[in-house]
Amino acid sequence: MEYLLHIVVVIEIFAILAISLDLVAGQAGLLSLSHAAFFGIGAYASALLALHGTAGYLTEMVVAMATAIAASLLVSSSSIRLHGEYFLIATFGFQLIVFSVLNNWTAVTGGPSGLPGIPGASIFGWQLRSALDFAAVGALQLAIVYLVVRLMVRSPFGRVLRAIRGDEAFAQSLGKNTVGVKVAAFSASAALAASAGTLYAFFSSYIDPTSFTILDSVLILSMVLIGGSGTLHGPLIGAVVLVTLPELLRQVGISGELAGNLRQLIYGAALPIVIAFRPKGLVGRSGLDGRFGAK
Amino acid sequence: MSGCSAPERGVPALRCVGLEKSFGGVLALADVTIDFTAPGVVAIIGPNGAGKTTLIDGISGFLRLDAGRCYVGGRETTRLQPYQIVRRGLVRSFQDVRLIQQESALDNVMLALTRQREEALLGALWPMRHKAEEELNVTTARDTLRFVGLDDNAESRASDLSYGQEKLLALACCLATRSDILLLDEPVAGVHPDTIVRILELLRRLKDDGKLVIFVEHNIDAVRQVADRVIVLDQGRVIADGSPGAVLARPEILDAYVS
Amino acid sequence: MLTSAEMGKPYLSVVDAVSGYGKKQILNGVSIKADLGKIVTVIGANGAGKSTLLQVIFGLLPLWQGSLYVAGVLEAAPSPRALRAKGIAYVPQGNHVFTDLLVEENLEIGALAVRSRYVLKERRQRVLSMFPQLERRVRQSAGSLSGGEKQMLALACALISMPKMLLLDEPSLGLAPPSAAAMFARVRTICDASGTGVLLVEQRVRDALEISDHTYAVRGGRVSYDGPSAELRAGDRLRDVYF
Repeated sequence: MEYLLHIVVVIEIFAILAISLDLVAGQAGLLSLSHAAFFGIGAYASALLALHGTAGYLTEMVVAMATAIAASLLVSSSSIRLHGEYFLIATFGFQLIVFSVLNNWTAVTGGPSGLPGIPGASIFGWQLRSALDFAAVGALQLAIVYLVVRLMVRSPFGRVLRAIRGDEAFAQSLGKNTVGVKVAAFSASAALAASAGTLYAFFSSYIDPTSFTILDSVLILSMVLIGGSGTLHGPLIGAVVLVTLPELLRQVGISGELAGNLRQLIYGAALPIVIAFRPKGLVGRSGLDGRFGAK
Repeated sequence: MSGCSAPERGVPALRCVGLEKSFGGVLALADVTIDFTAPGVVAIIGPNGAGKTTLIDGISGFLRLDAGRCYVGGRETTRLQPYQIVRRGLVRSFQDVRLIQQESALDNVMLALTRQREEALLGALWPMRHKAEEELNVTTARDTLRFVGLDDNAESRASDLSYGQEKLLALACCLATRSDILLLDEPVAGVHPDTIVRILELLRRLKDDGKLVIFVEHNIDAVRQVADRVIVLDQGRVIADGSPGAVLARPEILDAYVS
Repeated sequence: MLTSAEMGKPYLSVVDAVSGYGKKQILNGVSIKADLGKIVTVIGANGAGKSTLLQVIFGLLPLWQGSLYVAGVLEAAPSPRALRAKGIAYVPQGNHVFTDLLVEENLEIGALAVRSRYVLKERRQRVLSMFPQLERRVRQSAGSLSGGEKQMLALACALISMPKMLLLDEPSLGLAPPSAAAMFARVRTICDASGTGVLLVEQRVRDALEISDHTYAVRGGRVSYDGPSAELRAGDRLRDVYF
C-alpha cells in the first residue's frame, strides 16, 4: 500500500510537470528541454529554505515559484526571440548550466551529495508525514495546476498562445505582443514546475542533482509528446503511462538492473514510435506539426 | 487598439519621409516620400523587385529601414514593433495569406478582435471578468465575417477554405483590428475572378466607411476598377503618382515594365 | 537537324490549362502553341502566370484542368523525365548551375542521358563552340563564373542534350544590358541554326519581342494577346496588352 501511494505521488509530480510544460510546448509550440531545471530550482529553493529557516509548506512553495520565475526571465531575456530549434537549444543549454550549478556549488547545494534531512513540512499546522498525506496534498496540487492551466488555455491568453504556435508573424500583424506573451507563459510554466519541486523535496526529504538532469527534461517532454500535446489530459496520460510502465515491469519480476535498463529502453523507444505512428500522441490534438521533420 | 484619437485637421493619415532600404548592396527603397490621406484607395504598382513589399514591411514594422521616418496620424512609428503600430491604427496583410490554419474562421477573427487588456495572463484566472466582453466579441466577429461574406463559413477551419475565402478571411481579420489604415499586399492575386469582384467591392465600401486602403497589386485591371490614386515604384523610387488614367497612359510607366 | 516535315508543326500545345500552387489558382485557362524553328515569347506582369505555365508544361506542377500535347500526342502525365525524353529542355529562372562543380562537369550532368563517350565528346565540342567564353573556362569552377556566364552555362547544359524545344524562364534576369543582349542574340542564332524551338518567358519585353516570332501575353491567368511579335513592337498595342 505504501508502495502504491509512493507511485501515486510520483505520478502526481510528473503530471504537474507535464501539464505545465504543455502550456509552452503544446500550446505555444515552444519546445523546451529545461523543465527539469525549473523543477530542480524549485526543489532546492524549498529545501534550502526549510533547512535554514521556516518549514511552512506554502511559504516554501511561493519562494520556489518566485525563484523559478526569476530564472526563467534569465532564459527569456536572451533566448525568447529565437525560433523553434534555436530556442530548444538555448533551453538545453540552460538545463546543463543549472545541473552544473547544482552539482558543483557544493557550499550551497551540497554538490553531488545533495541535501539530506530536509525537515518535515506543515500546512497550517497539519504535519505532512505519511505517504498518504503527500498523496492527498499532491492530488490537491495537481487539481489546482490542472485548473489553472485549463483556465489559461481556454482564455483569450490561450488563444494568443495557440496563434503564436500557428503563425507568429500573423499574430504580430494583428497587434499581439508575442514576445511578452511567450515570456509570460514561459514564466508561468517554470513557476508551476517549481511547485512540483516543493512537493518532491518534502516527500523525499532528500534531494540531489541526479533527479534534475537533461534526461529528466527529455522524459517530461516525452510525456507531453506521447500523451498528446495541446490538450490537458494528454500530458496527464503521458505521465501515468511513463511512470507506471517501468513499475509494472518490475512487478513482473525482472531484476533491478535489467528493469533499470529496460526503463531506459522504453523511454527511448516510446518517443520515436509514437512520433512515427501517432504524431499527435495518444490523445493529443497538435503534435510536432511538421517541425524537426515530423509529419 | 484603433486609430481612436481623432486625427488633427491637415495631418496626413500616413506619412513616409525619405525611406531607404538596401539588401546586400541592392537598393530596394531609395528616398521614398509619400503622404496618404484618408479616406482613399491607393494602389502601389511597379515591376518586379521595385520595392513594393519592402515598403509595406518597412511601414508596418516588420523590416527595419536604413533611413527615413514614418508617421501614423502625425505620430512617429519608425522604430516601433509591428504590434505597436497596429495599436496606432495601421494593419497589414501578407502576400501569401497568413492565417492560423488549424483554427476556425471565427477564431481567427476573434484573435484579431480581442484587445490587449482582455488577453493578460492573470486575467485568465478570473474567467468571469472577460466573459461579457468575449460574448460581445463573438457577435462583432460574426458581423465582420458577414461583411466579407463568410458568415456561412464561420465554423470552418481556415485550412478548409478556398484560396479566395482565405483572402477574405485575412481581410476580415484586418478589419477586426479596428484599424483605419489597411496596407494590403496583393489582395486579389491568385483569386478566382468572381472573388476578385467581391474583394474590390469590399475595398470600395471600406473607403466609404472612411478608411484608407493602400494596396500593392500586379493586376492592373483591379487597380483601374477601384483605385483613386496610383503610385508607381521602379527600382525603389517613386516614378509616378496620380490618377490611374493619367499615370497608366504615360509612356515611361510602360517602359519601366517592359525594358 | 530537323526535317522540314517536322519543322512548322506545333510541337508543343497547351489547351485550357488551369493550375496553381497549393490552393492558389494562377492559370485560369491558358492555351498556347510553340513550334520548332520558331521563338515564341510569353510576356505579362508578375503573378500573371508565365513561370507557372512553363512549370506546368515541364511537369513540375500538376495540371488541374486542361491538356498538354507534345508532337501532336497527348501527354497524359507530364513529368520532367517524360518531357526530356521527348526532347524538351527547361532552363529555370536564376542561372542555376552546380557551383561546386567545374564547368565541364556541369555539362556532363546536362548530358547524363548520352551513353556513348564519342557522342558526348562531339556534343560537348559543338556546344562549347557556341559559347567561346565558356570554352576558355571549361576547367574552372562554375561558382567562379559571372552572372552572364552562369546563364550561358545553364543554357549550354540544356543544349547539350540536343533538345527539340527549349523552355527558357527569364534568361536575362540579373544580367546587365550588354550580357542580356548577347544572350538574346545567341538564342535567336541557336533557333535559326539548328531549328530548335524556343518558348521564352521574359520580363525584358522589348528585347523578347525583337527576337521572337510570336507572342502570347498572359494577364490574370488568361491569354490577352495571341499574335505576331511584330505587331506589338510598335508600342500602342503593347500598353493595352500590359495594362
